[in-house]
Amino acid sequence: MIHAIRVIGQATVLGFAEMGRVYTWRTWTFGWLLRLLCQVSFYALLGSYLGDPGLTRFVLVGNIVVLACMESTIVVISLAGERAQGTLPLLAVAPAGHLPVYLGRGVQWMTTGLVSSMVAWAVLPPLLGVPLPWPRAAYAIPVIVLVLVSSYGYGCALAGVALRTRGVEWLVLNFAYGIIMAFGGTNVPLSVWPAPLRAVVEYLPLVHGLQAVRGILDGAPAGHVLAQVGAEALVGAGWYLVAWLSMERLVSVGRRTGTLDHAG
Amino acid sequence: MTSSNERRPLAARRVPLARRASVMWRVSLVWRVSLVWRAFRLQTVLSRRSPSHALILLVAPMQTTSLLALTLHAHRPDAVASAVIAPGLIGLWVSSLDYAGRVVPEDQWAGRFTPMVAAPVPLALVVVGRVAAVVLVGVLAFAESWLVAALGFGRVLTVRSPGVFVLAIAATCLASVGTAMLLAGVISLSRARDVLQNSLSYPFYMLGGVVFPLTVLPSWVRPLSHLVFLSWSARLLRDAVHGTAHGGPLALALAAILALGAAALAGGMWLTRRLVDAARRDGTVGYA
Repeated sequence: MIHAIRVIGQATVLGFAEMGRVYTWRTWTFGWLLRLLCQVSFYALLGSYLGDPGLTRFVLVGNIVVLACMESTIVVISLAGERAQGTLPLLAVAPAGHLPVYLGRGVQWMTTGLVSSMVAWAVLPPLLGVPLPWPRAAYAIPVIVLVLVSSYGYGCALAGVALRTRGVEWLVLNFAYGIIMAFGGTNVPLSVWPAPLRAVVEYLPLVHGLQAVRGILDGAPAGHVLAQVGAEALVGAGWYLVAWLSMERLVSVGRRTGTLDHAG
Repeated sequence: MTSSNERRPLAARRVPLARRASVMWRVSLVWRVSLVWRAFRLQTVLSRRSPSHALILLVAPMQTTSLLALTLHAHRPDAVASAVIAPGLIGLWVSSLDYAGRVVPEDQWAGRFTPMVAAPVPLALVVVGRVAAVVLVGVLAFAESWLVAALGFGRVLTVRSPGVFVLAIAATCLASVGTAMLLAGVISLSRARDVLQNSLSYPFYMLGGVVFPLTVLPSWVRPLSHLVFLSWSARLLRDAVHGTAHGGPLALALAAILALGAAALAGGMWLTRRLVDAARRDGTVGYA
């Protein structure tokens, strides 16, 4: 177990080194972070144009929490890169096994997701004229962390598709968080959608976590909030299970057919 | 038998200068258009092999769903046109930024850049043709968005001034090609290539007022919006849908879109020439 944690730690260091090739702290702050804040503001301003401050706050909160999900799912790109760069067979034959590396490969995105969603949580509501009820808003932060973690499992599971088909990683990533943004209760309540669609959406990450966050802000009973938190944790665990099975199968089939070193 | 030309003095045989210039200009124009067309076809073939170039066609329906659901949930049928038009404009911007911006860097990675620079044709025209092909994919987002509204939400968007709408789309596409050319130049010359591609989306959707009027933005931001062609396009397209685009404001909006596109195109062509000159001078043409 300690060995696996050390491998995940090394994979995380690798991830940050990789990220450092693209971003400096200045370009991350004034490029990427600013873009994310603009994304949230874009939808919140639309909410303020269309409705009252209540709608603006609903949209604002939804889009801040979605940042956590969006950044976590970028793990799809990092994992697909393993196959494109030909490093997947090396992971498969490593004595530590491929899963710790696989699971640690996008931890840097969870970290940046936490930072960006926290900056947005603190800065945007007062800036857009819909302040959050502090200190109650602070209780929502652990739930946002849970959303980060469950979305990461979802990203790892969908990376299985990107690892099997060459050149589709950006399609998979955008589809992954696109359907959550569209149907996951980010901009409109889930009750807007037909029942069959709602039943499917229940299995997506963020959906229950976001309801828990909204419950905390609105002062909902603790039982309701805890039930949503539990559901979010269960959904996340389910996606980790899918990710594990998907990777195991990819590696075992690749070993048997000798296609592990193919670039997809 | 000799021709009358052979018996006349040399000076008299010369074709008038103005006519010669006109013929040469026409030949040159045909040659340039043909070059752009061939580059357009090359990009079509390359894009067919790259599924990620169809990304916007995957994203546009989801964006339409988000925007339209929010609009209808807020009981604002007057804003439905904005929610349907916005994903189309975003599609054009994404095509310009994401794919067009990668045209030259991808050529460098694939080893196509060296023969292109060595060929006796201006690289800028080749890039224009290829960027145009990529931008055209973005136009399909308008159709997708209309279909999602009609089939998914039962909202059939009727365009009251179809002529103006078509003109606005055509002008917007031309401006997108110009802007894509500029972005391709900037991104190719920049060391923060990925940062630029990842960052220049939502700030411009906000500045361009693609889904809400510019009055929603703080007053100090609005002058900047007038420098973004999307702001003129969004307003003109919305006015065309509502049938309120007429006379002076219509002409002004079209002129602004085309002028901003032309300025961006000129800047992009200048940057591409600079890129090629620098690569030749430094001996880095073959570098990825």
